Amino acid sequence: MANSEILKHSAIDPEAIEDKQFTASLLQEMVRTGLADQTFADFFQNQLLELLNSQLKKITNNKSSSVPVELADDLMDGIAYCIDTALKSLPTLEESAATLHSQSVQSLYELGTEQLDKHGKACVALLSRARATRLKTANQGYQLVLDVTFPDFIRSWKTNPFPHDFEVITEYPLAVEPAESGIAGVHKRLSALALENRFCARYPQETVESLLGGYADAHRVTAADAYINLFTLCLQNLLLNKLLGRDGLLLTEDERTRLEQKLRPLSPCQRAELIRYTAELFLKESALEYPKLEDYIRRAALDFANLLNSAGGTLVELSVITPAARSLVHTDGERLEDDAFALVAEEVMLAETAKEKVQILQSELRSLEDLTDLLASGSIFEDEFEQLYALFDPVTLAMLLSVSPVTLTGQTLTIQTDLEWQAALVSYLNQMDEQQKAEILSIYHSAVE
Amino acid sequence: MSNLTSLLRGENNLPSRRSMDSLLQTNEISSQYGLTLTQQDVVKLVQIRNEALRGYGRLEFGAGVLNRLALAFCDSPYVSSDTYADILAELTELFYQTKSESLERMPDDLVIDRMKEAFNGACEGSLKSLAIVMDTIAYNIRVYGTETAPEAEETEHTHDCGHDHGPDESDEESEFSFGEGEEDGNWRTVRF
Repeated sequence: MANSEILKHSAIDPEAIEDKQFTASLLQEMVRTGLADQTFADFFQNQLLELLNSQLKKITNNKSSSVPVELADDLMDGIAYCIDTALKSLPTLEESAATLHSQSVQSLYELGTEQLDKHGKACVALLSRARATRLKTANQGYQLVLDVTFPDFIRSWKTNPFPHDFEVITEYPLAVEPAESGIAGVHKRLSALALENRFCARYPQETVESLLGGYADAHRVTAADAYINLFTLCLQNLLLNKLLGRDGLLLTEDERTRLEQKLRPLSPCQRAELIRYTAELFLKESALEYPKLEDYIRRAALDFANLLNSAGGTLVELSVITPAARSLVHTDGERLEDDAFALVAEEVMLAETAKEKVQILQSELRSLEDLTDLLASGSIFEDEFEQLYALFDPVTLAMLLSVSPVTLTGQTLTIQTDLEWQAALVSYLNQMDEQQKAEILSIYHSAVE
Repeated sequence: MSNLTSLLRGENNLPSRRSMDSLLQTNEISSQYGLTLTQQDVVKLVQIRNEALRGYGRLEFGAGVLNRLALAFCDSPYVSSDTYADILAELTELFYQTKSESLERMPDDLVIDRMKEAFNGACEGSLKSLAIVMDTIAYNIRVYGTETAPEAEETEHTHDCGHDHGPDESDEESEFSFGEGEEDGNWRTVRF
């Protein structure tokens, strides 16, 4: 006899409980396991219909006795959403079942509404915080979610007469995307965004933008349009830098290649452990003292490790090379007629100083081909080239280099050419200081047809 | 969609027993005009109501509308004891049609008032004419936001309502006097 109570009710099967249909599936389980009978189920249904009726009366201002079924469906979905929220907040299914059995539909609904309202209020404060700490970035998706998307979600939530679930779709991806929908999902996303802002703010804005620029260039999009998470760009490069034994976010192509050579031979477990260890090392050294951010970084690092394993240790899609190589698209201007070209060539030849020659070139020529023809025309004497090049801007020098048959070994240029201006150009560039040369070479590398 | 919504898919929107009792109670008033509904009439009317609600995709709650229609029309000079139940059936269908086609912008009382005015007035008891009138009102509300079209417009009815409004065929251009536009069941889009 004593054991009959235990035998009477079998346990609720967690597999049978659907997240999006929590109350309905829980009720079914309760009936199946004997925790509730059909009488209770009918009673529950009647209470639901009463609540629905009261909402319909409110929506119609008591002036209609019927509504389209779609409206009733929407309201019922909202009721279910609130009751689901209330019941899901309890720690165990058994407690949820007990509460469902003991509380009225009205009180469950009010409990759920109250919990959702708390999310709504928290979103207002979080949005304000996220905006106050926003990154100065050209990325439009990032700015849009702060200025339009999240405010719209919150506004819509506040103005809706009854709480409703909704899909949270935004223009900016997060490093760790929450699964939640509705206002709870907005809350989680804003929390995540605030954490990401906090992390990225540790690094110079130019560096973060440089990563964005590098990503955009590599994917042939603009920084404004790139659909990428800035925190992810920073964290991935940071972890890779840490693997190189240093701090910072910048990474060159050579460095990436070296890292790949080390990562590829590792097993997935080893790579995952390496990334995990590196992340913990960073957290220990940085002493963030902000557990939520630390947890977020750990989760993002775990995702990174999984992606790295999926890529077999290849880093092309999981890192950004910097400084960002800006793509240069050259569209040649209008060429001069032969007679006009001859006049300009003569004028350049007769000009007394390099400065005057450059002024004539800048004012008369619109085409790179005309420039190279003029440089090869004999209008400029051997000892004048260096003076001329000193007055050219980096883009012009890079463009001239791009039409020269140069070979680059490390940072040194070599050329085999009969054209005096090309040889002089290479000689001039090789004598330049490293930083200036690097800038010109960067433009040269990014020049595309 | 929540599975709880399946609760709404039951046979009726209001418990039928309640509707039938409520309808039978109207006999206390209608009998003064020589009109009564039998049990059979009431069962049939509730069935017709349920079918109309299903047909127009509607859910009824609260007190329902059948008894209000009965009380509104029982004193009509155009309703007799032979025709009372049948007329109520037609009125029920027309009521829900008007509610749907006016995009929920007409409260119940207004729909019933307009139906009664037209039925007892210009339509002289003709249900066919009443249908045309209510259809026109619903159209005007959809398109103009008011029961009557703006005075500047001619009263050509150019919408496709399935009714013959007169000898003139619908004219696409005059349908949108303020500019070109298009309309579906729910929205009217006007381009100026």
